[in-house]
Amino acid sequence: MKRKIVSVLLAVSMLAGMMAGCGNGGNDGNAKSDASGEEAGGDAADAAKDEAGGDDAADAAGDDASGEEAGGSDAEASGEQVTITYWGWDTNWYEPMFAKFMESHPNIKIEATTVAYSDYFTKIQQAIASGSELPTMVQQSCTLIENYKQLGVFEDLTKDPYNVDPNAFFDFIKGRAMTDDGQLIGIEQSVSPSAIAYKRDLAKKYFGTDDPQELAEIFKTTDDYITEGKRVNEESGGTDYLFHAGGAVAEWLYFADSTDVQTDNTINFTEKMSKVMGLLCDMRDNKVVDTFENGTPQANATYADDNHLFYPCPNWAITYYIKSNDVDGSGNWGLMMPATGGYSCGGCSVGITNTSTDAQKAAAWEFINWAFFTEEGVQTAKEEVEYYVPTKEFYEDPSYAAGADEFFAGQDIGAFLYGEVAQSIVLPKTSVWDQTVIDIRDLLAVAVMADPSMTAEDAVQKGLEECANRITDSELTIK
Amino acid sequence: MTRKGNKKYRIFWPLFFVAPFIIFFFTFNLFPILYSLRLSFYDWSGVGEKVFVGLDNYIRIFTKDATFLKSLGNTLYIMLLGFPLSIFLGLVIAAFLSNLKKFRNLFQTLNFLPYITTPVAIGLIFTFLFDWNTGIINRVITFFGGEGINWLGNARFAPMVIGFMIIWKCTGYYMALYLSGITSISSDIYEAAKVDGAGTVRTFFSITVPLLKPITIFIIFTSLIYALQLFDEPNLMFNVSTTSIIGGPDRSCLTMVWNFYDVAFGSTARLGYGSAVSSTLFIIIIVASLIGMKIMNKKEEN
Repeated sequence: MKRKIVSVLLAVSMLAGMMAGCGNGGNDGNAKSDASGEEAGGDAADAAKDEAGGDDAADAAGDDASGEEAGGSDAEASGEQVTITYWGWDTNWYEPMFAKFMESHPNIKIEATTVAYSDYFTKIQQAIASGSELPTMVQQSCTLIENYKQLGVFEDLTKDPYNVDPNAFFDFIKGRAMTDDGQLIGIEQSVSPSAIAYKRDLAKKYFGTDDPQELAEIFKTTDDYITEGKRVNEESGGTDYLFHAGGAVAEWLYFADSTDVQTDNTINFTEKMSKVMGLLCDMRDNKVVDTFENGTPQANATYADDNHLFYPCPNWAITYYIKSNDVDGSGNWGLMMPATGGYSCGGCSVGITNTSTDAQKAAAWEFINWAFFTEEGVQTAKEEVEYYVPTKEFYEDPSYAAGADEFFAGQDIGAFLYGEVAQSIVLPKTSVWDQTVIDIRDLLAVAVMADPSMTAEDAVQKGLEECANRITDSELTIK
Repeated sequence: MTRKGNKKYRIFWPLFFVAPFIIFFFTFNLFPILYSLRLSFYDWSGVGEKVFVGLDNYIRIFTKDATFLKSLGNTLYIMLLGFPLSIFLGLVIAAFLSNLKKFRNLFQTLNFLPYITTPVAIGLIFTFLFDWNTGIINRVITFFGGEGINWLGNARFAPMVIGFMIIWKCTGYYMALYLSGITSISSDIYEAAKVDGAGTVRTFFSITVPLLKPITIFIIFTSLIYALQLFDEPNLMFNVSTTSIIGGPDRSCLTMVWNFYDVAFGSTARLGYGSAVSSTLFIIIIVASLIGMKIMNKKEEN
């Protein structure tokens, strides 16, 4: 009998041990996010539970509306602490922004999780498919924005209680995160104007000047990059190159081209990629571009060397790449207009998930409102991250997008990027296949740089084969 | 013991004790497998409605999807590049170490270390070793007057680097398996061979190798399954932070599992099609395992 009892106890404890991991994660999350919610009686946590119950959905909505109206101030007034979550790869943006926001909003705690860019969309998709908890705020890459629109998990920020007017943003960017039926699923973090960054000492050595205007005069057409780049390489005895990586050049040329990836039911691959690959092949053949693979640690180390002059540079790359990789390079960098004109490269928007609790939505909106519509948030983005928001009203003050940057030898980066470059940007129409075409572009750039005999036609042909394998929508024609 | 008591011991308690395993096996193994099989007949991206497409996904795999067939070829190629040599070296090192009187444990540990090194570190180490511009291998080549090779950017060389990585990683593991086999061979046999005048080489080929046959078959069999599931090594080697090139240069290192991962969860995120790819992969592994088991049983019978 004793043995029986022991056996039963052992079996039960084994079973209990195995079941321990099967608790409801969602409940845990709620408990965590509303940790101090107990005091607040019928607060947002309750509203969320009501919502789940369904019966009191109207109550929940009521709570929602009132909560939203006051946003986080509701929480602030009651002294309730709300925890919201954020997944992102852009530590350069969210770390200083969240830190500053939480200083002035002690009732809101933002828990950020770093997720690699390459895994990000998959993680969001898996969370939705498995019904697990999504973060309160999601970072939406512009190259996948059409895919994010299809998910249907974001709050429409034009609707009550957010009431964001898309016309508050620059015209060229205001529609990017907007669905065909007019829902705004996120606010663009910044405008992402892009130019060419250069090392001043090397520019002086090879072109006799480090003035951005004079350099832009030397590099007026894309052919100038070939002739001057060839000269640089020859004069240096083969050690110095104008650009460090074929992938970086391809990215610049791709985003500077205003051809739409998709028109109706046609993917315009040949049109979009021929010029990019043609110029890349010319640069490779004339030793204008070195053989580093873009984004690798080895390629990033070239920012601090004395052998590479030019780097295609979106606004986010200033802190993300240049300042972080060339820590001793203060005063040696400059920004110039590319021969292709200003362009927009990368960038992302921030949206609020509709699966979050009302209190979390309100707190997330409090942050977004602070970051993009208040003086304090906008100045923080400018001073800490060198991001300039897409909200037009701030540019009415000429001093907003102005300011010398010592790292760039006192050059007025803000005025240049947001006064000159941003105004000339024309964004192509987005497609759900944007990221797929970009993946293929990267593959082709590596292939072109690895194989000197590969022509632009070969590369485009290879790209078309890749498109046929990867673009599975049978209703689309790939040209 | 009564009849009733017997029945209780024969049926209730065994069932009671295996129940946790069975329940968890059904919930976390069998159900996902069957659900994935069902999904393979649908077009579904993980969000929204599932659209039943019948066998379309499977037809596409074998008729239109050149990437799948390429990934199959890549996997077999990398397998042949890495595993045979790795197994052979494991055997030779084990034979060598078994005769070593001093520092045996030290060499054993040193050889085994790569196997327990975290794959992320291995990926980084090999990226730094074989980088075209800054890699140590190319520095050595250029030091001796040669020209640096684009190991990781050229479709011809990249699979070789993966093969080399497998040899570096797995040799120590195979060595450990062979060493345990060698220690179980009776020393009488070696002494008898010595008395008969057999040299070291003759002893190795006539005694050690034949008597280690069961271990060799086990190693080949498990390596085959491991090779068909190859993912970590190539993925970590080419998964740099910003570019998103799937499968290395010209997709030359895109293995079957990496292709499945990419199709289902990566750049295109098609769970239905990904399930069809995984089911096909499952069948290939089952067939390969059955063939392996059949060969193994035949050898044991002999």
